[in-house]
Amino acid sequence: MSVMTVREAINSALAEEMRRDPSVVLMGCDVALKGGPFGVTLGLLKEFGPERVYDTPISEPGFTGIGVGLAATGIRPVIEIMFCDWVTLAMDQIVNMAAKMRYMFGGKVNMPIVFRIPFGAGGGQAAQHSQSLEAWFNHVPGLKIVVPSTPADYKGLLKAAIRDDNPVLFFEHKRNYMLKGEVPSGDYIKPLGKADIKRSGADVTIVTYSSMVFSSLEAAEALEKEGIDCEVIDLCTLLPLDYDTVLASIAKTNRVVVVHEAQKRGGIGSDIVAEIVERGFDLLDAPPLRVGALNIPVPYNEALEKMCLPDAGKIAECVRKLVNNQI
Amino acid sequence: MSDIEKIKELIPCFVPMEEKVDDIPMEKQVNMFRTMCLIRAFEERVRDLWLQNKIRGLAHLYVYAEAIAAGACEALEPGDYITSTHRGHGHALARGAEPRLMMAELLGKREGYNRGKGGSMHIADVSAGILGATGIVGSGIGPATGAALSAKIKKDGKVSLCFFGDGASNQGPFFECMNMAAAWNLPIIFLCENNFWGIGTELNRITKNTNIYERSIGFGVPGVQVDGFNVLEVYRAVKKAVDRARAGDGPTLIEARFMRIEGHHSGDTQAYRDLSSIKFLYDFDPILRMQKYLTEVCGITTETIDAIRSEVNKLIDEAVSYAENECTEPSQSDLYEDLYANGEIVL
Amino acid sequence: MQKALIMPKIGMNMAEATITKWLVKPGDFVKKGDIILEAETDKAVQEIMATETGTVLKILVQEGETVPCQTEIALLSGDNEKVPVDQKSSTEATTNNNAKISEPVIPTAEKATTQKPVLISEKKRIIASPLAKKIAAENGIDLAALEAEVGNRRIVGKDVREYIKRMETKAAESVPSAPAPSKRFVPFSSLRKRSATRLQDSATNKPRVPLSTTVNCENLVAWRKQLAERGSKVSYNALIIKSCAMALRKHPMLNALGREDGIEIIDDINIGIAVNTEEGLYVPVIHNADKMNVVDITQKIETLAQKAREGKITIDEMSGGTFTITNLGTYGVEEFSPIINPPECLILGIGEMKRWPAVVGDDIIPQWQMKITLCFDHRMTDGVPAAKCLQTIKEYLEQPLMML
Repeated sequence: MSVMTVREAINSALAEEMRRDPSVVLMGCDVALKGGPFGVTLGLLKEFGPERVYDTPISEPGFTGIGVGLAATGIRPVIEIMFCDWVTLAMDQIVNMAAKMRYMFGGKVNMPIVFRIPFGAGGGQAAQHSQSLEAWFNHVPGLKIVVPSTPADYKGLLKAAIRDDNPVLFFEHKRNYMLKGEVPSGDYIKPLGKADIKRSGADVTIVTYSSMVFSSLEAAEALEKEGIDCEVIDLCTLLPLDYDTVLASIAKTNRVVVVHEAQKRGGIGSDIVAEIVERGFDLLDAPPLRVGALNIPVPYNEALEKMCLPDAGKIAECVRKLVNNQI
Repeated sequence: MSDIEKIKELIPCFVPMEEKVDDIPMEKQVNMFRTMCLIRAFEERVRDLWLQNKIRGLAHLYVYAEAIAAGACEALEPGDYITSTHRGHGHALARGAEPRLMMAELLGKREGYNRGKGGSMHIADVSAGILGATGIVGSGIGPATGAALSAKIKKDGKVSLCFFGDGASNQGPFFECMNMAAAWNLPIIFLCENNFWGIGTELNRITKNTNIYERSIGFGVPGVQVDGFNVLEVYRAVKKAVDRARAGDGPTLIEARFMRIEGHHSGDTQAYRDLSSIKFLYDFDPILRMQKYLTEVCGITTETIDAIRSEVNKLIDEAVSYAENECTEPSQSDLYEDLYANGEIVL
Repeated sequence: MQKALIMPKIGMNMAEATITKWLVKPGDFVKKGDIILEAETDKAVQEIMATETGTVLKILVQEGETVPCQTEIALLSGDNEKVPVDQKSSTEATTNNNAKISEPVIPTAEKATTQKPVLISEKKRIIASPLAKKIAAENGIDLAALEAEVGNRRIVGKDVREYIKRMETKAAESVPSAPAPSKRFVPFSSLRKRSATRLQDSATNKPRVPLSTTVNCENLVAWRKQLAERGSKVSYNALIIKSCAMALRKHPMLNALGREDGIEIIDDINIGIAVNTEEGLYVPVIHNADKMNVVDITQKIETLAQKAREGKITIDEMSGGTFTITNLGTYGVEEFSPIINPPECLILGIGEMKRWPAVVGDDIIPQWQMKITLCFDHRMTDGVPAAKCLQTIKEYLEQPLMML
């Protein structure tokens, strides 16, 4: 065990995988010389050389396509799209090529590609640098979506994602890079598709991921003093989603709220709630709820930004209403 | 205006096939002719099957473009990569894909190259280096460039040839990939099949400089225009580019200039086009040109020509018969197969 | 302030409807959602609900008229509560409507039964969470009982659980020696409710005649003792079941189930035996009892009774019965007339087996005897056939070896 930041966890995962497997290649804007806009890939160019760590021009449609070509020809590329907001430029290659090639080509092509996508709001980054668009990809069969929270999860899940033969979208919350946590030593792999119970509880289930895990835990602590015992489930992977863990928890608590930083309308919470109702209707003692950002582009002004985004206080408020039958 | 003058207006680099070409082995020349005949026979059958509703969706026929696929693929080694387009049957056949497995795919059978899941626009014989055909205009350019980078990383001496059309030459990724290929000195040949028509839009209405080969200058990449109805010219240009790439000298842009004679797809009657003005183009049918050159200039006998023609026709007949009679329909259990790797099923 | 009721659109393709029957008249108070008229669309006759709440002031569209959807069809007063309407202002409308309404289509009995609609407005919706409904259903709780207590909000699982607990506590509480009479309420369990209905139905509808006789059990007791000495465990209930089963072989017309216009004679002889448990009365069935030997019947009874006590007995194990026996003898009851288990024809009540004076020749000696009572359904059979059957049963019990 060692304590490291999320950034260090990602860096060590990349380094370890690149050492272990010479076919792993990194690509993205500023990932080589600068070590990434958030310093995540520092030192990798030095260790592995320019044949394995590529600085690209600002050509998302181009270099994501190059990533697809690499993956189809025996390389395992890890492509960084600097900000989730610009994944819009890469949509064609992710959706029409990476997600579909294996299926369309009768299983004849491998697509072991990882797209690392820093996302998330806060700090006045404003509308075009704050988005969380993971819900879009839930709608594309053939992709996998990973959303770690703690440094240990980042490390274990990234290593698993790189070893997975499918296209994986790996979302990193850009405001959590300095978060510290204990990370197991050695070749630590955390399997995709399994949710974690980050906090056990009996009264209500909070289903969440990424930065909102911490806000939910904060809310849970406050609520504990009011006699409300929250169970916090960290989904870790959004696609495929571990409904077994979620439903087992709801069977215990009979109340659920899904929390994400992305806008409430059309966020992945909508799909999760629909599945919960379909699979676990009789377990529910109250309507399943969602907490998400307001349905507006993230504003620049600090106060407005705070009003827009979910936080521990808003989560706690929602849980209170749920438990007191005020919804 | 004489026909020659008319064609030279459309194809400035037009080269008549009147003199014997000595720098290409005769064997290869005949082989390229055969490939063109194979493609034509295949596509005519596809048209028939499509009209009979046996082929679903749309079929984009490679007729009259045969010289480009045949010439280009003849210049490649086994193992080299290509990416193809919605109009990709010619590329696949020229690269050595089996007609019967292609037919099986077009008829949606399990035995088809894509196990019935892809269809006409996605034919993928990955073992022949075909990294699939894509129906999104220009979306094969990125992957082709990636394949070239892969070859460079692995140092396996392979090259990557990207087929795309004049339509794709206006897509963003084309410029982005040309730039990156040049910057990283990748072993790639960008082969633009400029048939001057993007469905119902002529190139000169939406592009000022229709000499697409000149676009590479800005990126530091050599560009060349060739007569797309002349299989030998295409071969020469591609061979030169392939040798360059393999030698580590980087990318080349080749514009194979010709004219789309038939519709965009098998059901397109080209009502938007002045068909009387293109009647003369049928005389520049690349197969007829090559046949005339082989028989009149190279002394190949008509028996040889006929033998080639009947051999490919037989092959196509067998292919259709195989697809129609010996193949199986996919079933419900195939629905989720190959969505994820290693047999993983996610509903 | 007046409101209008409009012809609502029911179904995607409904464009217009013809009013066939008004169910309300001026002066009636309607709540939004109440069924107020019947209308014909191209699909069928539909019930139309009120789109507003209020007192009907005037009917605007008469029976027989066709209107497009969204058309106003009646005027309502603006009040949300029942309010007396000035009859004068709506007299005209009233008489008009009365004239129309007095020509009703009298439904035939057939029509009434087949076309009886579920009037949505009559069935009040109880707002409860899915979990609450599930717990209530599992425990036979009527959510209406909780509605008043819970008040204005959704009934949740906790409410139902607490309610059940309260009921159980009340039932468990012993009556203290208080001067005032205490009230204890034990709600029927779902099992009791079901058997209550059946018993009520049987007691009311089956004309039941009890026939009693005394059975000399000396031979029965001796034979059972012999079997036990040879290692074969046999219960009295098994012996009684066997004798009834063999008797029914001789009287096949009585191995029957009562139907609407006749009796259905059953080939298999399936004897049910009443088993008392904490939950209530279960009647497991020994299928083809006539073909089984008494040792097997004994084991079967034991197995099924255990299952019943554990609440694990299945519907199949309690179905198919053609004759039932019920034994209260072990509790000292000498004689009783049990209620027949519908749709069966007969039931045999067994009284206490004890030693009392019997006349043997000219002597009076104590002998093992028991009283058995056969109740029969006088619609399905008569006294003589039933008595003959009872006689056979008695013969077999008194001479058990004749059964084999």
